[in-house]
Amino acid sequence: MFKKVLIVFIAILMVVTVCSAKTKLLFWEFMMDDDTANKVIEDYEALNPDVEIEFVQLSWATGFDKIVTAFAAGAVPDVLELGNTWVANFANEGVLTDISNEVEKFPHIVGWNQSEYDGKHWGYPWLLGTRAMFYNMDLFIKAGLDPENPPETWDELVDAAKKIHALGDDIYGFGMGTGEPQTPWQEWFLPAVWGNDGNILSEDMKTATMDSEAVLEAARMYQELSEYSIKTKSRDLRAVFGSGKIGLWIGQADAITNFSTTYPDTNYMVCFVPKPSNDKGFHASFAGGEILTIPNASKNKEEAKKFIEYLISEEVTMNITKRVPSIFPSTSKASENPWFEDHPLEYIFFLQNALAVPAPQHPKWVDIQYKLSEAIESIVLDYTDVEETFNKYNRQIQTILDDFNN
Amino acid sequence: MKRKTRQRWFLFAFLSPWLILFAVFGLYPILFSFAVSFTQYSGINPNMKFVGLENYIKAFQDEVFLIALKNTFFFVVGTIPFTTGIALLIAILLNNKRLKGKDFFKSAFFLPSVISMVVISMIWTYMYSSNGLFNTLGSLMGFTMEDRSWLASTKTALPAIMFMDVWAAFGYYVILIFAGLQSIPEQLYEAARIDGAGSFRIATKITLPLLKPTLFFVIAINTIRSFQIFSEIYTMTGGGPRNSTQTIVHYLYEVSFRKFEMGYGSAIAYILLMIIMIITLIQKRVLRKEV
Repeated sequence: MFKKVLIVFIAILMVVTVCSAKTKLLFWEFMMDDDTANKVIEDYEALNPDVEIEFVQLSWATGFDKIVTAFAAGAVPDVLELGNTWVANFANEGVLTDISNEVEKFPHIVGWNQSEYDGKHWGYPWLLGTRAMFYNMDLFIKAGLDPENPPETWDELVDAAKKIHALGDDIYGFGMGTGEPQTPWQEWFLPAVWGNDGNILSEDMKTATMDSEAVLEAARMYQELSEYSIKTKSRDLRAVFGSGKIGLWIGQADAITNFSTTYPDTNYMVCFVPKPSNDKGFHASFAGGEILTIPNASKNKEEAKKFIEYLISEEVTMNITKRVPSIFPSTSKASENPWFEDHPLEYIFFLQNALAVPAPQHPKWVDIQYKLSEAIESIVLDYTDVEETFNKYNRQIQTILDDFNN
Repeated sequence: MKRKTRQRWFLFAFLSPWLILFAVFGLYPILFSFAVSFTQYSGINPNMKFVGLENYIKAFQDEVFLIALKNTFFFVVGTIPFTTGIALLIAILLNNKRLKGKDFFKSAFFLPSVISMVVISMIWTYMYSSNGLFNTLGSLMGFTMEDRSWLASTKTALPAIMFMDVWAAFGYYVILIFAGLQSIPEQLYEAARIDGAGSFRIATKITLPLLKPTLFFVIAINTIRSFQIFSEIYTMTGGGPRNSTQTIVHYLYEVSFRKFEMGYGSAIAYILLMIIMIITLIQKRVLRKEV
């Protein structure tokens, strides 16, 4: 009798344990600090008592290596934040979940092209960051330029840079990023090419098109602009702009907070990135974006999708923007958020996001970007011939593409 | 169990923690990466394809690898004479019995060795920046300084990192050479002086010959360390601008962890191993000849 009671008791205990077991989701991300993440997770767990979120904050210095190692070891999280330029690489390795059938469920989300590779979507756009143009109003006035009408076209930009640089040897018309792997093409050569309706790869990504006229036009403009520019690392450009020695600079929104604390006397404004001419092209900028992905090896894909739906909501993303005002919600609903009324400069970045273009989603983008940066630095630092240089690097990029396709 | 057998078991039991750790975290990765160097392997998914010597041949046809090789040799040749020379000079000065505050100087010179290279690199990145220490000092001294980072120019980036590296490294070698100097018996100097030997003769006939084993050790470990330069490049330049600071270890890291070519990255690592082995053997022959 006692035996039977014990068996029934154990069986009930097991059923209760199984029923009450929480689904544990492992979430790796870069953008939220501990406080923000804890609040976001607490709220989600309160709404979903059967789910427990374990959160790991990755650092930009070591996060990528940790992700690669996790995939190699098969110890992956259920929800993983990836930078938009990384998605194609991981998707090509077949380690991410295809979420293409989810896209229609989120009509308010923009930036889906940032998670697209090989005709499929491999993640949800979460937070978008772009670049806009900062300009020093005092230098504009000194150079006889109208601070109410910043340059809108390439010609106007080069002209303004020339006039500002004429104010003195240590005053620079434009701040041009060099000396780093990404800055030369992100800020701002490649967006200039995109704005000129061109690209460095063909649409099917099988042919290098650095020798196309749209690219060469942008390169000639960039080389001319470099004559009136300071050419250094992005951190230095920010400091030199902050100290009032650069007229125009294309940078990220977090500089606004930085300037207000470190350089409160610098009188500046923000505007859209210039386009080729009044009747051609558009104000393209580089689209940086954070994509939420679900690794293939996750055992909780449905729960992960539900959690991501919550993470990309306006409420959560605006909460992150308020704390990290360099990155903005991927949902267009956020445009009506009252926070932007008090932050007009950040709002320009939010609007610029609509014109932002992501880097080509090619698995060999890392190799391609190095070649592209070398080509740009060659024409602006050593003033090499534009056609010759770009033809040379076009061949090198073509070799990378051919090796990949074979 | 016999006493000797028991002793052997005891010995093995005490050594086993280290042996197990070495086997798992040292030997296995070394052998695994050697095997991987003959394959095409991304590291992310388990697919591995045997390609024979292709990765090794590819390295010598790869323009960036050859630049990295050249830069690494430049770095090694450009830093070791200064690091060792300065360390030797300071160690000799510290060995002077009349010098006061020896311990303070030893600690001061050794200090950079206990600071993480990443921290040192970050501090020096600021010092080299457009409005950093070097540009500010230059301007104050009346030089026309460009408003750009020393690390943003292809001409100055690598020499700037080498300068920092000499500063960060020499203190450690001062201590090693100083210990070597201390181990030379005082009687030899006294005997030489009685025989009428001058300072130069004492230095060349007693100090330097007896210091040779220490100098060999210093040069050998300095060479190995310099060939493996990574954290400075990773933190300060990422190999740029235009690969002007690209070095072998940084490039193999990029190839393995950024481009997902673990096979090729492993092959580069083994090429580096061969280079270091050959150079160390040459050094051993040259420097140990008369020891």
